[in-house]
Amino acid sequence: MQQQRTQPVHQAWSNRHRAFAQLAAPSLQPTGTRSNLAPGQNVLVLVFLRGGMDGLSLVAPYGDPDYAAHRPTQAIPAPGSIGGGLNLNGFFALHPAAAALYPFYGQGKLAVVHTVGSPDPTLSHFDAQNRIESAYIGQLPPPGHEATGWMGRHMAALVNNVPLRGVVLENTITLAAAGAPGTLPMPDPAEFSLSGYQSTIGARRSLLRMLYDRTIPALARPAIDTLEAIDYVQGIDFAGYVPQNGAMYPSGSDFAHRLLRAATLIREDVGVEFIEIDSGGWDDHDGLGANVGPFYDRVQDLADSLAAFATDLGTTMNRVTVVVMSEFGRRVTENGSQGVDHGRAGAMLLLGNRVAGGQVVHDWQGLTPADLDDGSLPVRIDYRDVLAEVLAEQMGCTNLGIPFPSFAPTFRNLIQ
Amino acid sequence: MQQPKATLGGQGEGHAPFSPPSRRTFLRAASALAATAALSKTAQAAQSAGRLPAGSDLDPVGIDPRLNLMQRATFGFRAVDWADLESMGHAAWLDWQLNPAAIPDAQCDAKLALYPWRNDSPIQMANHATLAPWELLWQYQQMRLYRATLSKRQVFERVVEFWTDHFNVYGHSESILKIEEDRQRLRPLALGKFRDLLIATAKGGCMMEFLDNESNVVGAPNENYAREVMELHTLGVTGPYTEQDVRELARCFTGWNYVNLWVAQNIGGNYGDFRFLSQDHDYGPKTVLGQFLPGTGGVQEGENMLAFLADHASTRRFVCTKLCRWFLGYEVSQAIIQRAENTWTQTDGLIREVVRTILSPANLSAAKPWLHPKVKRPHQWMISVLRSLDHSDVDAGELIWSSHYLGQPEYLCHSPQGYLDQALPWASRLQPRWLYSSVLGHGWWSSINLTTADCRARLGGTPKAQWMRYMNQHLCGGWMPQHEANLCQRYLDLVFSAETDQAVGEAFELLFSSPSFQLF
Repeated sequence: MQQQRTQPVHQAWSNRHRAFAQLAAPSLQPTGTRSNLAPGQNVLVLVFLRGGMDGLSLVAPYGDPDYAAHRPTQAIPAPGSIGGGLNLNGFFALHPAAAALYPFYGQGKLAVVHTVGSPDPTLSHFDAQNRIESAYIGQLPPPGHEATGWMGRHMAALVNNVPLRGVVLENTITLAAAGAPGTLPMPDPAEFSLSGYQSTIGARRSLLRMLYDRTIPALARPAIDTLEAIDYVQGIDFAGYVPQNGAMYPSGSDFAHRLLRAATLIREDVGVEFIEIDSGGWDDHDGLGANVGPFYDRVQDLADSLAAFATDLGTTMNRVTVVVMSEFGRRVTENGSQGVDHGRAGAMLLLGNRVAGGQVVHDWQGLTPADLDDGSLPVRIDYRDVLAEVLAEQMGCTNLGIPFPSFAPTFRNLIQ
Repeated sequence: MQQPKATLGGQGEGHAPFSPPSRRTFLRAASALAATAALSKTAQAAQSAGRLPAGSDLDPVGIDPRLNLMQRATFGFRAVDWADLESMGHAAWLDWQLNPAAIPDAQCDAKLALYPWRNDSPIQMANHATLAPWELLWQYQQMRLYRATLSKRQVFERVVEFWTDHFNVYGHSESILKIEEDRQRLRPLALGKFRDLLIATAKGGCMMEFLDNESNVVGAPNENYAREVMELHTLGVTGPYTEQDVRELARCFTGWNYVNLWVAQNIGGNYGDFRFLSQDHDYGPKTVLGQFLPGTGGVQEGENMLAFLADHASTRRFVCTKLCRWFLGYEVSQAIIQRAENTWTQTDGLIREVVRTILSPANLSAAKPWLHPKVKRPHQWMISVLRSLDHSDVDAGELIWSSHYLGQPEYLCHSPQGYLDQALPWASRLQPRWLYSSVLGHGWWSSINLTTADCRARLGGTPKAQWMRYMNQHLCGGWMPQHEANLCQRYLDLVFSAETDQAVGEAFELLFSSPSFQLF
């Protein structure tokens, strides 16, 4: 499925959006001071690549003798070749379009996990995403937990009085975050406000609170969270934020714009502990392209944006870990459309100053037919191992059975 | 393309007439409102049970049973449509609605006439002198706003909306083919036999392009469509198929292709039409879902498999369950689903009759929409605002940007699953609804061209003390629970001593931002 973006629409929308914010802004007056309830809060930034990102291209096993044969037109050339990948450890290479992230690997701030994925065998995008995000794998959620995600349950189990604990920079909440207190979708937090006459804005807010206190819980809970979040983000000067350390966010990139907002929220130190940014279109059934094409462009956008984010935050990355993941990888052998169909294991990235970077964690056993599972790279590292370690080592999780029920994770020494 | 206007309100530099803050007003109102809110304990007890409060101030006896039909089968209460339903009664109205071609639709047609290209063929659209494909789709989104708001064929439009999600294709996958899909397949077949609808979508260029079947060829199959057709269109994700079935079914569809723009311009054929490329078809034997296919069937092999899938018991259950949830609620009893399935069986999957069964008075009263409401999706919220106001003098091109901001731009869902029919994704996105509500009555939502005077006219000269009661009755059919209406009225009583423009504007804000207006 092609997920092209039609630039004029988005550009116009973006302009429109800004105009909208300008009107809404004069009506605002923070009703309370935003106190720093949780200074120095550690933050997990989740970047979910929707569609099934091809881990064998993002992190190419160029050292495997069978890789090139599986991908006659789509293999990433070995480091040193024209258009070659960036050598990680003499066996794996980072996609050439991800060059902006390569220095972080050398500095020990970027780690790669390969042969990673969900043990659930589904090759459906929606099933795979649902199970990965709910983290109920091979089991049904208990009653009342059908619509909760791993991060949502983790956050719900921690007592924290910060009104705004999580921000999903999307139009709708994601399943991973579902169930998290004080967590809302905001396509752009700079525009998260009410409007109308200033003389009554407080009274109208109070009235909304009373009205929604008494409606169905499915509506009441997000409504109360929304009201509190509106108060909270009003004091943040998003427009005046200046990236530090010479960071250059790619211009015109929606993904970069959202990372810029994430950086603002983190630098403001308002207590937000979870930020999710999704990126769509990774379903490369056709026209994958090793050195040109939409996959290349997406990887470049991803890498340039993340590099700007990490550069901008500098030492603040001591308390931030970025996790990049997808619902599954792709079939090892390319299809007839210069693309790759749905497969199993793929790759994850971790970026941050506490990440034990400069390593590729993997359980690679080869690409011969005997090594593969029905043409796919078998999942040999459970994605929950990676997330559980981040939650336990950095996010204060003391009971991993809450986010990851009936699962005993193996830590992979990814967080220092 | 029209340039977006500079501000939301068309108020020049954004100098909306904000009056200075008044802390005293706020405190006085807040404490008095809190007292009002505390009046009903029964309601709070009911809330914790997961339902709308069913206390004395919320007795559903006050709701006309036909309002349940209006809420669930249309895009929201509209006084002129309500009059039709009141005069015809449930069965006759539904009968009338299920034969949409016979319903005159002049008001809607007049708006659609604003788009003179609307009957052009795909190739004519591709060659349009001034409009690019994405602009045509943008205008087609506008037509959808008018249809949802104004069409008298409300049940039909709600069924089309259902299929738009069921057979979702991201609009800009190939903009012109998306329009063609809606005009030539979904709309004409929306109330027809499911089998025909399934086969039509399978053979259209729109789906073919989106789910990559145009590149599904012998020796190198692309299984994207084969997977989604079973998971999303027919059997459902829990249906009885395996990964092996996905691969084998993909082989059946090898060689299924369509006349793309280049072919239409250089070789011939109608852009978007089905095209079978025999040389790309896999003529080997296959086994799909236990069916042995000798491999000699050619194009019929895929057609037969689609018919097999359409007639499968899992498909019947999956689609009937989805339709029941669409119209009756997130939790529908097995007995009701079984009734819909029985009709499906008796009518060979005729959607018109399945919908008639689902929307029976008995099913609607069992569904109890006032106790188990659904959360309006953003599109439905916006349309229901316009229908409540009976207002269609909008700048539809601009209004599409509101759809984006609300979170559900028409025809632009990226996932083949379509926009979800669930509460969670939409309930957490209330802020844009409140924001638009808070500017609408003051005339600052420029794309709907509504003034405070227009709003005042809709209050029918009623004194302020009766505004909420009047609006609830005349703009919502009485859907707002009494405790909400009381609380909102109390606010108007306390905050405003006169029927000022601000008071009028805020009355409409309260209506559209209230919990009950998010529910249906």
